[in-house]
Amino acid sequence: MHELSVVRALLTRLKPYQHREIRRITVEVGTMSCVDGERLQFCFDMVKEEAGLSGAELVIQVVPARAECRHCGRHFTPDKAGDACPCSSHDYTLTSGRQLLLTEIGFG
Amino acid sequence: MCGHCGCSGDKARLSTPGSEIHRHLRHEGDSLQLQQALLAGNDELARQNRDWLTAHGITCINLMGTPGAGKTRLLEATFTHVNASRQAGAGWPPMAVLEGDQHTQNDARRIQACGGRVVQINTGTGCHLDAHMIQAGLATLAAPDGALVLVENVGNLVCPALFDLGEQHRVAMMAVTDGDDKPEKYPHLFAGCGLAIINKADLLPYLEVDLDSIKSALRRLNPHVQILVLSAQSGEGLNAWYDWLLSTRP
Repeated sequence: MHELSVVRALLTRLKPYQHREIRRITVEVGTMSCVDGERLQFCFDMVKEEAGLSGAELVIQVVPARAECRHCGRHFTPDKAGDACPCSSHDYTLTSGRQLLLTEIGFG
Repeated sequence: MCGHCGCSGDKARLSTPGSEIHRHLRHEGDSLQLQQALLAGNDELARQNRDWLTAHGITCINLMGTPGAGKTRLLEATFTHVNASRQAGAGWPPMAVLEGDQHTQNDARRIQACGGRVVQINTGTGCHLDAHMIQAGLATLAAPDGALVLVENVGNLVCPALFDLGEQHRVAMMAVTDGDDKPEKYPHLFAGCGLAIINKADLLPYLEVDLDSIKSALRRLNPHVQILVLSAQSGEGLNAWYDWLLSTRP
């Protein structure tokens, strides 16, 4: 379950701010990032007490994928990997959807 | 306006040359707005690995796939072939392997038995290799300059896809016994590889497997992927694999 590794990386990112009471942590997870939001939440809840974050809530903002077709130039939203552009081409560049970002820390 | 996250451009930003990651020093009430890549730590180590590999002329290949796809068998066949080719006077770069598994040195022993330089990386509870493990593994492996280093990742079609090791090439491997729909079930790994290997082709006469459907699924996920159908056991199709390996040299 690689989501636990992602949570560990998140805890490392939070360390410099833990002299204050962290109440809310917002992360952006792209639908093509290979990370499952529910599992990420589960892993975070599993370790948060041990990490001194028992009062913190993890807010996961799922970011849909966006793609630019190399064949017709159109911008579209694939639901999942392997979806075709409306022009039927599978040759496209993802312009969004791979992100895995810490975007906000809310303090108490 | 920041093209990365859409924030106002008049706020202070911190970034590193060459990095897409930046931080915003913007306080809004009692919260801090950031744009930090969660895996920035791993990605930085991967970048260091890549720089080190390039400086030493070493090509690193990340071989990922299902447990039982035949990754170790393919490496055994490769070392056996390369050793025989060298004895026959053919030129091959020095080769070495980093073996990733949760436990045991079984695979490292198999590679060693074929005359390969190898270091085993045991991940313990971990389900994938990461850039830090590769950094430590490369230091212990001490492959000579110009070598070809094959990393056998932990047998898993999910987790390894997320972690950049600093490798120059990614190979995704499955076997015909895994079922037609493996690429569609595990799209991220197959979408992110340059080469896809379908192994155990010698078993095709005994199975109801639609090879064309596997290839079509791979091309839908990854239109530029190279596909090799082979059998590490019988040797069928291995010459194309050896040609591909040699083609990865800088």
